[in-house]
Formats: sequence, C-alpha cells, structure tokens
Amino acid sequence: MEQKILTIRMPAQDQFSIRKNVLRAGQGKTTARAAIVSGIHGDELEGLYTIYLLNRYLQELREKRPEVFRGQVDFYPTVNSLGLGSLNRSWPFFNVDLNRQFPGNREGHVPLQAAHALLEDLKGADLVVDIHASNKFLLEMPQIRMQEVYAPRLLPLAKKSNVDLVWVHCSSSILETTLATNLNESGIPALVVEMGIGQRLNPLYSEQLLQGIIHLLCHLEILDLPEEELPVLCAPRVIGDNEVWYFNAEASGLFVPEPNVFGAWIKEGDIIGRIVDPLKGSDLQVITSPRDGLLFTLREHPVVYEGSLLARLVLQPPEAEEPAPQFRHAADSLPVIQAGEEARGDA
Amino acid sequence: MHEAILELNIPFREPMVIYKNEFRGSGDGPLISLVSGMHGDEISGMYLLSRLAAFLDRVERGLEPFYTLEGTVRLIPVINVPGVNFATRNWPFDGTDINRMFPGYDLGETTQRIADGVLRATVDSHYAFDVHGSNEQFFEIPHLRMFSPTEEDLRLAPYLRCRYLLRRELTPLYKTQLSYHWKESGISPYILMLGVARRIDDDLVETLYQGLIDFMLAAGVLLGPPPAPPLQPPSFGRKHTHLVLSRAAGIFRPTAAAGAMLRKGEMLGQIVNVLSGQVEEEVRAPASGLLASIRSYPLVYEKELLARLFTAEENPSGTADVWYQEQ
Repeated sequence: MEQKILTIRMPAQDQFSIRKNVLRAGQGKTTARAAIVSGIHGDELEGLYTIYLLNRYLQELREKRPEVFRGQVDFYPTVNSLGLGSLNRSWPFFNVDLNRQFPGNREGHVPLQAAHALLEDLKGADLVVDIHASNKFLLEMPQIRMQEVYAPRLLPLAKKSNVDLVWVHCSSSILETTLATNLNESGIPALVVEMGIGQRLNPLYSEQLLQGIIHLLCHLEILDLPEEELPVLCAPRVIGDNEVWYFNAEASGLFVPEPNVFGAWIKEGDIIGRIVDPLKGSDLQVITSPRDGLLFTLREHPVVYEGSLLARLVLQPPEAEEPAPQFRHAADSLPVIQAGEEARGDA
Repeated sequence: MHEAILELNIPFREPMVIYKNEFRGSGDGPLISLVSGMHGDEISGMYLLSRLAAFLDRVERGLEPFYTLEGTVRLIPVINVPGVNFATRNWPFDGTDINRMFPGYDLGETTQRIADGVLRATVDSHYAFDVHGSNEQFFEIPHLRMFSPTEEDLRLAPYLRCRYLLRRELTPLYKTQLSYHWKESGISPYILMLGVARRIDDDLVETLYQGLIDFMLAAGVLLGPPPAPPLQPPSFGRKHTHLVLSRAAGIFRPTAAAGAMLRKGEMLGQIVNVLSGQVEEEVRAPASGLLASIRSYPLVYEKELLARLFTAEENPSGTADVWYQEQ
C-alpha cells in the first residue's frame, strides 16, 4: 500500500512527495514492524536495489505462503527524491545534508520538514535499517557502523545482518543530527549500513544484505520461516576504531590502485597503489602497507589532494595466523565502478 | 608582513597557499586575528579585511599620523582559496564546508588540514574575528554572534557598530566551527555577519571598517583619537526570535527592507503564483520588532524561511532554533 508521508508545493507550480510502501500481513494482528530506509543522500543507490529485492521477496512470500508473513515492513526507498533525480547528495535548492537535519521541525524549511515527517512516521517501528552507500569517492565492503553507546542493543542485531564488518566507533556529537542517532536515542533500534559507492550499484552487495534482513525479520517474528530455509549467515568481524588503519595521500595527483587489492588480505610491505604525476611521468608516492590486514575501503575516484583518504585496512587480529574465512568478496567479483562529482563524508 | 600559514599541493597545479598579513606594533598590545573567506562566496568580509590591510599599511608607513599600532593585527582574508577562485561556497573538490571541519587534523583530509592550519595560526590571539556574509539566499543586517560573552567582550562589542548582538549557547551544534574552538581555547571570539553572499555592500563594509578601527582602539591594539561613542546594540536570543515562514510556493517579492522596525501585521512582501500571476500570500510581520534579515533569492517553497524578526518582548512560541544550521 503506497502512502505519502509529506507533500510539498514547489515554486514552479509542481510538487513532490516522500513516499513509502507498507507491506502488512493479510490476516490477524501484526507481530512487529520493521522499516527499511534509503536514499537520504541523493547519490546513494545501493539501498534502493536492496529494497526492491526485499519488497519483491516479501510480496511473493505473502502471496504464496501467507502464514509465514506475520508482521509489517515499511519501505522508504527514496527519501531525498529531489537529490536522487538530480544527482545531488544533498537536498537540492537548499543545499543541505538531510542526514544532518534530524529531528527536524514541522515548521521549518523543506529539509527540516522532511526529517520531521520521516522521524514521526518511523515512530512505533521495532527496527529501522537505514541503508547508505559510501560517497562517490570511496568503495566500501558491506558494513554496519554504530556508536559505542548504542552497541549493547545494536550489536546482536548487527551480527545477524550478514555484513562483513561491524564498526563500533567512538560516540560523536557530529552524528547527533542523524536519523539513526535520533531513533536510537528514542529507543528504536536503528542500524546504519554502509556499502558500495555513491552513484553506482553493486547488486551483489544488495543480495548479501537481503539475506541478513530476512534473518532480522525472522528475529522480530515478522517472518516465521523454518530454520532450514534461512540463508546461511557469515559472522561479521566486529572492529573498534583502534583496529582501523587509514591511508591518506601524501601527494596530490592521480591515484592508481593496484589490481585486486580491494577486499583482499594485504601483507606488510605490499603495494596498494601509486599517486602519479602525468606531467613529469613520475610517481609522487608509492603507497605500501605498514601492516597486515583486510583492505575494506578503497578510493575509486582517482583525483586526490594531499590528505585525501585512499584506503582503510582492518588490522589482522593478533591471534589469527590465517585470514579469517568470513570475508568473501574479492575485487574481481565487483562491477567496474566510476565515481562522479561533489560531496564527501560518511552517513 | 606576508607569510604563508599553510601550503598544500593541488593536483595538476601550483600549490595552494593560505597567507596571513601581519602588522606588528611597537608596543606590547594584544594580538587580534581576523579571518574571512572561509566560504568562497562571502566577499564582503574579504573586502572588509582588505580595507583594514590598506589602513594598517598606511599606519605602518606613518601616513596615518594620528594612529600608532600597539599590538599585532593578523589578517587571514582567504581561507577557501579555490572556493574564491571558482566562486563556490564550499571546498570545490568534495563540497565540504570548511567551517564544519574544526578543530581539524594535520594528517587528515584536505579540509581537515586547512582547519588545523587556520586554528594553529590564530590560537595565540587575544581577540579573534570570523567574518562571514550570509548565504546567497538571505540578506543579513550587520550583527555580531557571540558564545556566552564575558563582561570584557560586552564592553568592546558596542564599538563595532553592529545592529544587534545574537547570543548563542555553546551547544554541540557548533562544535565543528572555528569560533567554538577559539572560545574553548580562551580566546574572545566574535562572529561578524554582514550582507549577503556573492556581492559587496559598500555601506556595510564602511560601517564595520570604522567599527573595527574603533574596536582596536578600545582594546588597546591601536592608539589614536578616541573612538566614536559605542552604540549599545540590542541583544537577542532564541526567546526573542520570530521566524517568518512562507505558506505558499512561488515568487517572493519583499516590500520591506532589512533593518526596518516593523509593527505587527505590517507587510513584508508577497508570494506570487508563477502560472497565474495571482498573489497567493501576503506576508506580514508576526510581531512588532526589528526585521533583521530577509530572503534575497526570489523563488520559495512552501514553509520556507522568508524573514527573521526580533522582538523586545518574549515570543512564547519561539521554540524553533534561531538559525538554520547551514547559515
């Protein structure tokens, strides 16, 4: 059932709405309600495809085996539809990041109203999954990020989500105005997924996350599937800030990564990439790894300034001799991705 | 004295340099730093600092015989160098707002390095000014924004000839801004807001130019003829604010000018339907008071900020924040 949670008149005689789709069990009282949100940033498309997959899966299930679909799932795939339609990360015209506008305001400008309407509409949900892609500069392995203050409640859920990593980071006042923080603060568990890259799609990542969300829906008793029908989950590696190694550019130029480093285990001394100077035909920096670890973030946009983030490594846990088996994706299983323009920053 | 405070390599181009222009007095007066051009489209502030530079240069050469420099004045007129060169508000490559990157990090992303460089270059100041215009959509009469000002801050503020003083609480909302970190470092921070982005308003610049010279006289940075008598500006906070929001969408034509004292119910402007030309809304003052700012970009959505009005009596419905974060 399609609904509009906000409709706004625009200057040139037109209007737009924030739309959601509600899937509810056909009969009886619903067990629980989950909400899947994406497109808060207009350049992030990974969540849209995930929602498509889940929507289709659930509709089919409800039709063929109505007895196993017992709850309610709300989909909000394109919250910032103006940004999505115009390749803007931020909200066009107002030029603000919607995920810095929460809790919003009923009487504010349009992005504030959008934030307010979304937060109000999500009240009463038992779980919210807010799916972000990375920005258009960085490619990310599927991961869930959370502030440590919410970890006791979120970590058990995140472990069922079939992501590769769960990054528990220090709490930050910069995140106070995000959707997830506002939800978690008000007692609604909200998981923030980061995967892929801005302005492009990695269908395999959406399929991977789909398996996790099915598990979460079973956990909430929205789905009543027998254990043997559930997809096999991979346990994510849970990491803290001190286990992440950052590579920032020491030179400005063109960054060219080595083939097949993304999603791969890197040894100390391995070359990750180079920053080259086309004018002189020389290498400005050869980036080698000072440690062993898994390269879970890689810059896809080749133009770099001094300081630009090039890659991130999860350091190998001290006790592990061999690479842990749960990391599955090698770079060659991913489509070629190009980056676009504008904006940076995490969810 | 021109000196680089930060040099960064730019891909495929000459390095970018952020300069300071420092005037050192003969005495041991206080150090005052003034920065502008954090947003590449806020030009009035840059012009204001260039006027000050020319004045201080004349003082140094003895061409302003009534003035001598006791303390030190440090001017950093352009922080977002490519933003100014490309006429973009934010950092042109990745769209970052530099005033959301403080305190910065010298090994981090480019804009974090810039923030770190600017903070380091100013952190030894006694007084520090961050000069901004508004964005392109809003015209602001000149005013001062301060975090929990001290008595000494309030003694000096009236010399600036601002129309009002906005008191801000030191909330986490501002934690990533330069002035917050000045305050945390024990510096008296002054945020000067003037005009609108992308153009120079000569009258505003002239007023603040005179105001800053008087401020420096009152603070003992400069010696010279006594400053003009300070104009005690009214001081406002959240409880005295009225935000005027559009009810219709269309073309907004203001009929009142920023800076006017309005009576409740007085016309502020009209919103016209693009297709029919009919007046969709007559926008009126929600209270009597000072029209501090008014929308300059003519097209509006519904429920958008059109004007900001300050009243002497408390606004019981003033629960909305005084400023949108992005301003």
